[in-house]
Amino acid sequence: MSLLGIDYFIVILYLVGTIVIGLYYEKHISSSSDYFLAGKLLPFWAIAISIVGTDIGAVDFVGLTGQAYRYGIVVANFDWIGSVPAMILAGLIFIPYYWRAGVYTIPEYLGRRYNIYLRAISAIIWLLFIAFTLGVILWATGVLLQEMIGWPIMFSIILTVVIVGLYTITGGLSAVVMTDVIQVVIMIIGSLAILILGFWEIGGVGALFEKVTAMGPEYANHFKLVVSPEVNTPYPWTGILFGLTFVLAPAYFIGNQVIIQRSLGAKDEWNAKASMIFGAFLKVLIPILVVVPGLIAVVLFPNVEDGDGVYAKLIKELLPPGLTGLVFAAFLAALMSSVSAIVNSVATVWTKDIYELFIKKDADDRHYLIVGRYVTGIILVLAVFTSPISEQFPGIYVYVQTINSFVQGPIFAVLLLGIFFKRITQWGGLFGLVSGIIISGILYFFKAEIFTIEDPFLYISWWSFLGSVIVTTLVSLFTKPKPVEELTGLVYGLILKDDKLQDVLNSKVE
Amino acid sequence: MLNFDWLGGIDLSVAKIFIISAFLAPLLFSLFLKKEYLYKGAVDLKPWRNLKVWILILTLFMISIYSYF
Repeated sequence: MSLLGIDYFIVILYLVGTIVIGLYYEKHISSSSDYFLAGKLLPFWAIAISIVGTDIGAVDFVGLTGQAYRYGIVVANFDWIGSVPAMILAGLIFIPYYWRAGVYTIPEYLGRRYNIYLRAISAIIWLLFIAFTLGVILWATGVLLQEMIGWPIMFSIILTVVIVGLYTITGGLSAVVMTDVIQVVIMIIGSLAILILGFWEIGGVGALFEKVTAMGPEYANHFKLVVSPEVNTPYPWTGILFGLTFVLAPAYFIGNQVIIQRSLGAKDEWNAKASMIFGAFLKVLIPILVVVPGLIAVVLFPNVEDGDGVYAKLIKELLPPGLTGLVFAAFLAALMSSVSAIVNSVATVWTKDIYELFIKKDADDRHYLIVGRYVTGIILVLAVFTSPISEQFPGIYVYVQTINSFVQGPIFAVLLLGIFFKRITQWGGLFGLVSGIIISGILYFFKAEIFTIEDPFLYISWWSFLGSVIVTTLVSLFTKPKPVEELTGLVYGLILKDDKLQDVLNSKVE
Repeated sequence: MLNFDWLGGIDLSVAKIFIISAFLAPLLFSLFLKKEYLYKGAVDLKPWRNLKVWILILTLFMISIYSYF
């Protein structure tokens, strides 16, 4: 497959447009708050679009379509039951809570609620995983583009890093969010092109149902959202409910810095709340764009062994010149929106939770702004050099995602208990986090002996979360809690309600 | 136990009710929230800013999807 002149024109137009929009926001940056939290000026709709753009990477387009090809619409659970309830609760309870606590990062909250060790541990774990994931995402997408259009892997990576670097280093979170808006619009148009032409080819929505169900008993579950645990699938309803709905989804939308940071940049509390709920509306549409093409591919290309290859086949078979360029622009957009969001969040956590805390405490705000910009650039350069490591470890993308999901349960458990119960102690939180991660590791390394389903990451998330809850609670019962006055503004029952309490919190931070 | 085999005998229609309940719970929670809390920070009190309405529309749509599939 190769791009024609019109396709290159569209891709270049997208890249130039992104740089121009990103650089425009440089003039709005004069403090670290402007840089890390967009000066708290963002409207709800831009944040919502940005959250969705960050969530969907280029590799996810291919991966989710491939999973839908293999397992059917059950994959849509990740965007529906695995997002909507968690986003509503995040919008109604947790975002206003963080907003009133006046925090920049989740580790910062954990540090205030528990102790400096928990802040440092959670920041370092998060930085390590996210920074490593960045290199893996870049490499995986580079490989994808090489397979599809023959671009050299390092060319795609360097192109992405240079462009993302230009607007992220200069414009901070404002540039990240506003370029995300453009990138998501391009992703939607590109995906719609495949969807519409796919339906045209197979004869419409009705024909899709008829043809897939007529293909035999192995496709009997392709239109079921709720699948029995007795079927050999990584997505049984028990895993979807306990692992995804109760742990991974809330952990992602309530405890993930990359997501939360956008909502904390909202211009007021209502916009912060509305951003999550409007984001849930957008998430509802995602399966239509990435899961339905997988079902269309079942009809058009039955018996493809590698489901991950069907997205490229759809592009090749369905799209005319021009639209092919648009879909590749959408691929780059998906990659860039994920990379810019990660880089911006890593820079924030490093600057606020490591540098400001342990390296240089009392510098002026301008200094932290400069550090944030340098760190953003350094992370991008490091990502270029570390990304080829992925070549040495096949399947590393899935491996990193799996390991990442192990940490989310325990961090979420500690976060949740800390927010709601003042009896939870700093030692309870510390032991709960560490023991939850150890439980995840044990379950993962003995998964073949313990679990019966193919890839039990949903089950592991649930049990590590539960283990973490139990250990945190037990250790807390035997250790001394912080005095109530130290928890003001940090526990839900003691949430900040007026300016006086806000002053108490600010003095505590100082 | 760790495989949730103790839930293996549950009928899929009952499982679907559990899943739909996970959508209903945030909706019910939102219905109990005070108007001042939901509108806090809003520049005006126009009906379209009422987040309860947004959540109601979203939840009803999701329930209809899960009821069908």
